[in-house]
Amino acid sequence: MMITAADFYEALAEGTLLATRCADCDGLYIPPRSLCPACYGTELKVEELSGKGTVGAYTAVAITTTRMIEAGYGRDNPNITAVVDLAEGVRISALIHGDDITVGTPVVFDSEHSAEHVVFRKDDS
Amino acid sequence: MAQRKLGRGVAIVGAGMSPFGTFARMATRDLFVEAFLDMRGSVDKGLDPDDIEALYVGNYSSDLFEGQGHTAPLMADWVGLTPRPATRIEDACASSGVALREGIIAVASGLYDVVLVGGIEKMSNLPTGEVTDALATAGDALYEIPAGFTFPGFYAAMATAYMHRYGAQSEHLIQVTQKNHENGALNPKAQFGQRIADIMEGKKERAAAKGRPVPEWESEMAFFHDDRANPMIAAPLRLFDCSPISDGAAVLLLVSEEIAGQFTDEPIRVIGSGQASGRALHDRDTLTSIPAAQRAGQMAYEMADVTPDDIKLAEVHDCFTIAELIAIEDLGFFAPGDGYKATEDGMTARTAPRPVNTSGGLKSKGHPVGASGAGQTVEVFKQMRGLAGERQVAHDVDVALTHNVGGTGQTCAVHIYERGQA
Repeated sequence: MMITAADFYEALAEGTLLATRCADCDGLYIPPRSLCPACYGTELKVEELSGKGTVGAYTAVAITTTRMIEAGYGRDNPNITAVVDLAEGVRISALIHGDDITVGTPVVFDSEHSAEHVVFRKDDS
Repeated sequence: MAQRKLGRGVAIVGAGMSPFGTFARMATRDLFVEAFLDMRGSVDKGLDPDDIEALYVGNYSSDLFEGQGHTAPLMADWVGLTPRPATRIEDACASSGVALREGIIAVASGLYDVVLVGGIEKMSNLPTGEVTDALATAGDALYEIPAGFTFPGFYAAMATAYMHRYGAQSEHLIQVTQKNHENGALNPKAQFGQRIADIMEGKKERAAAKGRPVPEWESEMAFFHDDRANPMIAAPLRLFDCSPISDGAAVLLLVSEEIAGQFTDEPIRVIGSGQASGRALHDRDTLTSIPAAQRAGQMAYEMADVTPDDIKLAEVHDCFTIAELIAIEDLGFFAPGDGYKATEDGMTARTAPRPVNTSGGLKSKGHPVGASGAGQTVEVFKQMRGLAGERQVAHDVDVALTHNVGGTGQTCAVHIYERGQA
């Protein structure tokens, strides 16, 4: 079955970070894929991720996209955007709620605020 | 698998460019004509345009920037090449580096003897917000842009990873800007042909002329830390860490080596060509280097049978300050994490044995994205033939390299050149 971005964002709106895992080589993919780029396997199974990770790289975008400006961000309220290193060993691009982060900061999936955007926040646990 | 060689030798015998900058009255085609005429003037023994057999032109997005699709046949027409085949190549900011490679492959195949390669972009029609949106589409529109990444944002993120891993500071990044503006000040085609000190002086003069408080900065670093003079774009990158919004075109004339002597006694032979693709930033194993650039570099070195130590001058893709530091490491000029130290030590300066971005780079010369790759080759062509004027390096540049990156590194094209004798 083809897993698409439509599936990913539907699951996201329901509070789930959707990945797929290749049945042949065990490769894990988020965003989810239907064709394994490592072994060409086509049997990829949906897997839900823990949502735990650390900041691998980040920025505070002052001059931002129209889409982010419409979401309330901009010069006076830069959007914090990061590449998150997930506990499962894969990475994802995410919007960060809160600004007290740096490289290495533990972050956690914020399912409550994720719908159109993948949102993470600092993990205080 | 061993790197294959070209089917036959290819040489560059002409290279020219329009000025890079913002030109309200010039459309893409006008810039292309200007670059074409500059190229034609560079061919030592003259060029009969009727001899050109095909055009490959790099362009990122005239569709978004100018509302103009299908640009290649238009460019061909405006320089009198109709009905010859004209093909547009799009690989974001690497579009014309890749167009060069396609032109090389076409000549090496034996199908053509004389090919025109161009690069074009006209970005300044749009307000900054729309340029930001247009450039962001070089990232992944489904999974990166929704997270809030912009083009500067991607490189800013790489900068935080690099700085965290290697201990570089924002002052190290800005040394790339200082160097490239020193070089660009000697390039009459550069968009910002000014040293940083000159830019500071200009700001003071304008403030005084308008009767406003005249800013005082203790040093160039104080200027770079001033939020008004050098505002944050995507932290940690500020305005002067970023290449500008630019208009411009560059044109190269490629011929088979066998006939190069009909055009010049000093052809620039293409001895290495590499190109690689890469994944989205979040899908890479590393955030502090660009795997596609490493791979394209390895391919080009292997084809050319040279090492990084053989390179006497390089034009690299400094769309942002951090990009130049990563580039000089990816190309093997310096070990990973040493790029910022080498820059601080002056090892990439115009007077160094292997200068980087003598043209001023994208930062100072300008970055009309689809034209930048071909523009790099124009600089190499001039430096290798001793025609770079005030910025001509003192040493003999017999072997040189260009490095052109698309997006955040989803594409990279690297070329190596050797000055030949026809």
